[in-house]
Amino acid sequence: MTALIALTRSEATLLSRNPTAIFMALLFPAALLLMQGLVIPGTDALIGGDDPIFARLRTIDLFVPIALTVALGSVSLTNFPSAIGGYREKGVLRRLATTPVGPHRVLFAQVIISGLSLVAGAVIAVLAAMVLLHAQAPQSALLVTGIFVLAAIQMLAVGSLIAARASSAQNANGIGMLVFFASLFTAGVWTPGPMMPEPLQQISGFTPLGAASQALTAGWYGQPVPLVPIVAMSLWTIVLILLAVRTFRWC
Amino acid sequence: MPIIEARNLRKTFAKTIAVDDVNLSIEEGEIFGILGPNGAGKTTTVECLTGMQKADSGHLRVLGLDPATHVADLRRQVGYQLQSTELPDAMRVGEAIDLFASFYPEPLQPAELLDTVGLSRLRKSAFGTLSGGEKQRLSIALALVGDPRIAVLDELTTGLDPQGRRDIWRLIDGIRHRGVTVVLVTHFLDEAQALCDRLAIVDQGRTIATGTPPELIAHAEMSAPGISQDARPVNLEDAYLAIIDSTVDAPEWKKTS
Ligand SMILES: Nc1ncnc2c1ncn2[C@@H]1O[C@H](COP(=O)(O)OP(=O)(O)O)[C@@H](O)[C@H]1O
Ligand SMILES: [Mg+2]
Repeated sequence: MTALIALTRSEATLLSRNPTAIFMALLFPAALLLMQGLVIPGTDALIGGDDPIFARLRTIDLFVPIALTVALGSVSLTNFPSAIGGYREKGVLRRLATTPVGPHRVLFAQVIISGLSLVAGAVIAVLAAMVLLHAQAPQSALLVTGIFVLAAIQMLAVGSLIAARASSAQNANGIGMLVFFASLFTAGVWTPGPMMPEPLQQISGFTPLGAASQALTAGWYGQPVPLVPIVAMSLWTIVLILLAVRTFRWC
Repeated sequence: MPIIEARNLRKTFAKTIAVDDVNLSIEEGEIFGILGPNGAGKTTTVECLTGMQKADSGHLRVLGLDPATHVADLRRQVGYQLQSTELPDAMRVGEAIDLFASFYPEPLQPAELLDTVGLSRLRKSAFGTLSGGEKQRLSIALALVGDPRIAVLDELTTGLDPQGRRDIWRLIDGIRHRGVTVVLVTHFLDEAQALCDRLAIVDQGRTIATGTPPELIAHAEMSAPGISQDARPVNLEDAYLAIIDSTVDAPEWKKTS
């Protein structure tokens, strides 16, 4: 226990000295959202159309729950796997294997810090959205929190699979960035929610971050929460964790 | 009873025979060298002894325990400095030693240990800014911080400048009085001669000679009787080369003393 606390503190300290990781975790989700709201023209206009809920929203409102998925993805897919890839590359995992605590504890510590930092990134983005973009608070904060927690576990599972195999920090970061940008697409960063063509929307709903995005959007704006994304996220979580555990390279 | 014992240790990787037949008997409190050329199987030998690798066959006892089945016990009592380990560049010296101290039930005082290895001044320095010698000194401190009964140090001074190597030698000599048994893996003869009470020469996965440096020199003289007076081995380097050569010419001369 003391070792896990010490490792977690050490991970936090190392994060605080890593400007790129801090940017990705804490600033990128809010910065992207503010760019969408304040720089891209027209996002302030009402969506219109027939959907009783979406017709009354501005385009930028749709980007608010999506900002949560940006926070989820940037930490889980870039910071977290690069940290573990770096430990493999430097021999830190092997070195820890020679001590009584073993290398798996540094993984736990990194998961704890990643979880805390992605929550912080999401909170910063939401606060920025409410203050600067006059976004609405979620209809059900409890529901959104629940979905966010599930989505966070799922995305850390995706990151774990990258972390399980990557031979270096750079290698992990390369794969992570690729998955991150593909995920941002399915999450609707370019074509949010109802603006995505129907078939694409359905396919996206089966991808990890796409499912997270749809479930969070539904929860945020008081739609009935669609079951499909929740089931998809649960299945991804189980499958990816099992896969990561089975394929993890301890040295 | 020896603190470390290996009989007929063998370990292969796919097609490579890393360790063919290694025999060691290391007494408590000694500085024992495992000397041999690159690729001889030294690292693999100590990996088997510390439970990092599972031996294919052979009898191993470390602190009376079988490393294959008592890995957890050994982790607490054996400090192992791996041949190549780095720490995160941003981690500071003081943080690293405190962190590793937290891994062990009864660690040494981190501050005192840093003093011993001459790093007190660099407590606040990031690992990435240390010189090669400073990194190795920290590495030794990390191997000792758990107050182990055995410290395994693999290729301590490879890549260091002569001054850095001498500093490390002085440090190892200094931990002799702590009663820690040190297993020193090296391919440098001068290092083995300067530091080791006894050593084993490993070549192509086999221990081909074991003894104190003077014993090995004497042994080499006997194994090369035809050699003229002035070509007789007078230091460990000559002895080592003579022993390695003689095993090539006369494969039956392989018995470990
Ligand atoms: N994990 C491994 N997989 C495959 N071959 C290995 C592995 N570890 C060591 N070897 C091989 O075993 C032999 C002995 O290696 P090693 O024990 O590292 O020698 P030394 O430490 O004496 O230089 C070498 O031929 C090396 O390539
Ligand atoms: Mg080696």
